Amino acid sequence: MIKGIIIVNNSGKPRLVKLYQNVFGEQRQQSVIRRVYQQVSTRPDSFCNYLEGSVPEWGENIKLIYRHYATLYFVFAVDAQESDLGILDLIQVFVEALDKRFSNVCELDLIFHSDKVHYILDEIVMGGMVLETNINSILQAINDQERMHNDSMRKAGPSDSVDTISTKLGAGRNW
Amino acid sequence: MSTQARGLNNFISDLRNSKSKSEESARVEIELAKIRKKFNPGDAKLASDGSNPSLSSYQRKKYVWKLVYIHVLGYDVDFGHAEVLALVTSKKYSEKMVGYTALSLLLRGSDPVMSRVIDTMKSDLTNAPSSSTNKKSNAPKNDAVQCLALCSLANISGLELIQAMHLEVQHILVSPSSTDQVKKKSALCLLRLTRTSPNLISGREFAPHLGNLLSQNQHLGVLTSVLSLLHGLALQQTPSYEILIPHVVHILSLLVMKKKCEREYLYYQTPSPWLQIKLLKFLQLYPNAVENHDLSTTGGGSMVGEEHVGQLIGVVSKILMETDVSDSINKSNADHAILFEAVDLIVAWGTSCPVVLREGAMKLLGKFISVREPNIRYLGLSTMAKLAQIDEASVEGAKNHQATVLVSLKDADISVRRRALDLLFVICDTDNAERIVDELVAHLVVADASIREEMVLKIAILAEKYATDLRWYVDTILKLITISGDYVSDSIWHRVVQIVTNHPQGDLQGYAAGTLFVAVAPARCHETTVRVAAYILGEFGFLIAERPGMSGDEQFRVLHQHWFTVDTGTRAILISTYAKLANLYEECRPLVAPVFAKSKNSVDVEVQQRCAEYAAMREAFSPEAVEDLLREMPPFEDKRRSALELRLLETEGENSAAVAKASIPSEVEQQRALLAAQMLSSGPIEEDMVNGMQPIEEQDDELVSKPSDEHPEDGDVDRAVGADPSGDVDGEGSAGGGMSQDDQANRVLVGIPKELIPAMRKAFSNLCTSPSGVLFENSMLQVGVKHEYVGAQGRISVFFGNLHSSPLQNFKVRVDQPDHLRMQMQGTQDLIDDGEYDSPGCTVATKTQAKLMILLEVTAPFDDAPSMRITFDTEEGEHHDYPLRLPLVATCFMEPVNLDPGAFMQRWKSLEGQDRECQEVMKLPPNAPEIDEKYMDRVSKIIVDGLKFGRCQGVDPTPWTVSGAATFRTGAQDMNGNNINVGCLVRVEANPRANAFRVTTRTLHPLCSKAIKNVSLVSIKLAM
Repeated sequence: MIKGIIIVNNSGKPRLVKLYQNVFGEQRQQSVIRRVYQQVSTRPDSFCNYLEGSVPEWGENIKLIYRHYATLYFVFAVDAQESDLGILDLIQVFVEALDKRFSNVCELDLIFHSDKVHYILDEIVMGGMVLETNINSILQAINDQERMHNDSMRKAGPSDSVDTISTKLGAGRNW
Repeated sequence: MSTQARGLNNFISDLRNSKSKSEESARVEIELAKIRKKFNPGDAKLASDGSNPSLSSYQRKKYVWKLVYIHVLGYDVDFGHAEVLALVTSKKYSEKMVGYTALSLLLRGSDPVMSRVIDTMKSDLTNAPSSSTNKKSNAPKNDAVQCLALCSLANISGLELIQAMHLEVQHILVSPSSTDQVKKKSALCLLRLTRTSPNLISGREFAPHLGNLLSQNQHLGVLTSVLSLLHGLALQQTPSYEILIPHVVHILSLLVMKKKCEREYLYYQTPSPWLQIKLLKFLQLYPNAVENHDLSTTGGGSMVGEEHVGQLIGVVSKILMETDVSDSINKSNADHAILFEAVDLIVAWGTSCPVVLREGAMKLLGKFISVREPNIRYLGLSTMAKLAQIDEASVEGAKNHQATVLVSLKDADISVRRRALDLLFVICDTDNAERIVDELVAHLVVADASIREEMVLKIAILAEKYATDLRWYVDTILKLITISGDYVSDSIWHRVVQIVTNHPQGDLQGYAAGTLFVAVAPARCHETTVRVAAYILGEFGFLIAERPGMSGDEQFRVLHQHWFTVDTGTRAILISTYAKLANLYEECRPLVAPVFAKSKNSVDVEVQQRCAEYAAMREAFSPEAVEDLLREMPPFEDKRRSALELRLLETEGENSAAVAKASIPSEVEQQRALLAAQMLSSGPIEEDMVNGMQPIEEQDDELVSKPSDEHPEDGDVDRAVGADPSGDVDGEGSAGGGMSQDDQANRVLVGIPKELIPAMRKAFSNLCTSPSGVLFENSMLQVGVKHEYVGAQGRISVFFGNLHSSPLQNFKVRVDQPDHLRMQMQGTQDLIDDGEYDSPGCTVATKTQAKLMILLEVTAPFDDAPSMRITFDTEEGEHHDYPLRLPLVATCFMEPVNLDPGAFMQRWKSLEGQDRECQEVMKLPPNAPEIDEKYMDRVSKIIVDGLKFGRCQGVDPTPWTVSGAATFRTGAQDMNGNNINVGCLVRVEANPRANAFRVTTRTLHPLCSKAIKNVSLVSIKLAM
């Protein structure tokens, strides 16, 4: 199974952390992220995408499978039950889904839409298992969710929708 | 459109702008305080569930999101649970969504508040999807709510939740009314629940339901999830799900053979690779599925019908044959993912898999490990290691790729290097051990610290397992110590000592002593080298004491130069060695005595005790008893699992391939064990073994623990003074020095007395250059040798004369037959012990002789003399055991060559280079005669008559040099059928002022150079 998914940027700032096998305590969780970052970031892109670095919090025999896109490392920590190349493909699917949803995804999208990133990931991986790999149905599920979300928002007071708009503008102005 | 609130965005911007970690955490603290106040303002009344009813939906969502964000940043969030629950129980989808997400991120299954969401979750799960009339309404679609609940449940997976809800999840999964989306999620949710609490589901009952799901569903997404669940369940209760194999094979063959797949599940034109992978993974759980597939299956037995086996094998071969290397990296990734799973399936089937498939897979992997793309190479290496373990034939297959694997061992990427190392370990056997181990050692020099320890351990195991020549093993371990001594654990060098001690055959012990003498001679060397050298020289130093520059006092000198730099553990070993040296060589005693005297007051208990006891020993016991105490150690008891394997087990775990490999003895090892057993079977040494001689590491423990155990109240100093030395030594003699005391067996074992050794050495050296003479003589036995040579062939006659007053019984001679000599032996009946069966030996009557004749041919250069071991019993009940060596050295096979000075110089120059040249300077002892012209005449006579070189007068303008040329003839033939010969040149230079000789030899073969140099030095020394 997938023990955890971590997205960190080139300088080690975590952008998404999803641990399917619980690591208790903020301290230890941070040390997992640090350890993963340290091990992955020292490897040039010409190396293979596998690293048998041990992350003791997850137990022995955990393999890190990662891909490096521009400023971000997508790191999946998996046990021996997963297909090595299958996970690489899964990362690709995840990134393609993000790319379609945000049209040309970049690090800022992950920062300011962390909720959506979580939703997309939830449609791909659930509880450490691969849920869906078909990009269309992943995006379909996300669109359905958003539509329903908006529907339920529209029923609420007008202040909400003003907020939504200003959020959008604000994001555009500052970034 | 963003679902995130502006306040949150501002907050995030603030955090991003903060200059330092402390500024960031200050900002977070402010925010947390603000949220806390919002959630619990103090004046407002809270709702019954603990949430603040005055918050708007928007505010609540915003603050909860902020908490989630803060949590993800790594700060502790321990409040706000009530607000999260309020969102979960809300009727609005947008609130529920935030609520469930926050629930799975912020809370844990064991949190007490979880019990309060059970009811909400349950009703969210079980609400049947409302009819289609609702479609257009604003009420959330129920399957979306179901999905949220399932997702959250799977992510939290608390015990209480599982108990309350697993039945619902099962129901949803098999219910025909569930949508595909819900089925997918419920399958995975259920898998997650069974992972957390196994045995939730009875396989026997649930398997048919899964069968229905597999056969009725065409939706590949659902199938993928169900297969994940099936694989997870089958891991827990494998036999229960065997009946589903036909379903799985059917789906797989649709995908592979017919490419039946909806367009959107094509991932770069490959039909749903993930589903194919899952199917293959499930099949890997049933290694017997294809067993006996060509026999008709007559009911019972396997659950898999004949047609399915055929189908399955067809599918696997199609995957193997038709996977192409594609331009698109993603396409090629997906295809190879399937391919590697298929190979894993072949590995799982093992020997029951058709050979064609196995060979095909090996060929493919061979291709993969030579590509540049690192991922494929990495996976190719690791899969090949698995495949190679199936049987002998597959190891052979993998061995063809050895050269390619060695390239990957030098890759820059540690992941690839590890896999390559692993694979090399798997394919290493007697044929290629030397090459592989030498490569590994060479690589060790540049290997980084992260992999060194692993490599050292593996090299040590391989070298021991597959050494055809144990001298090579000793050399290898020495190299390991030199290159990375810090990673050579004690168990590795203990093993060297064990092996050397347990293999008296050949000349291993003498070789080890000689090699270690050289290794420890430099002023700087690794401490582990000092330890091994100290132990080995103490035990077997006497075997080399006659070699030039390696006498007893020289041995003491090279060891003692390290005394001040080593730790106390090493000093303790050194002290035992010194005691043994002092016992053997008169000249060592004055050297050793001051060391003992000084160390008697050492602060280290172990050193102090050993010194005191050895010093006291001489006074307390008769010389014979001391002699016995300081005799060589008897062989070690063989343990089934060596300490090294245990270490490997520790680091790699029980299931590791390496461990399995290491624990099976190799052919060579079995042969060695057999040989050793034979060597020991007749001797009384066995009794020593029975009397509890333990492997060295255990003894060391004893050494440390014993004193304190037995004398808990005694002060250490008290003991060291040795108030009652006799009693003390009696009790602890064996422990104190690691010496054996139990030679008081019924039969007395007689070896070669130490005082005879110098004379023997001299006789041996003399015989090397003269055609006949006496090799050994004591009061009972005389051994004479006559030998003559023509080209590569020779004839040796050995005579064993009984000088004793009574017959010598069970008289046996065992001649070592090294690879480089082809021998035929003939002799008095029952005299020859060829190791094949337990011969009783012959009886040699008083004043008669037994004869042994050996015809031999040399096939390769060599630098040592074959050993000859003589054993017999006397009527007095003594068992005699004399390890001797035949005076058969490289120079015996020389044919003189006469060269003119020009030709000599030309050849001399052409043989320059490290491997070809051997040089040593020998200083004559102070009492030796001066080097004069007469001495030089003798030297030249030795070179010409003894070593059978042709003198090359013209190159020696002064009387102080002697040059010669010869050909070393072997019986081996090259490809054209000509005999292989080695041209040899020698040059002796004397320096009368320094009273020293320098011998230089140059030949095409390093062993030849070394052998000639050694013989020359010894002979020149004898000529004085």
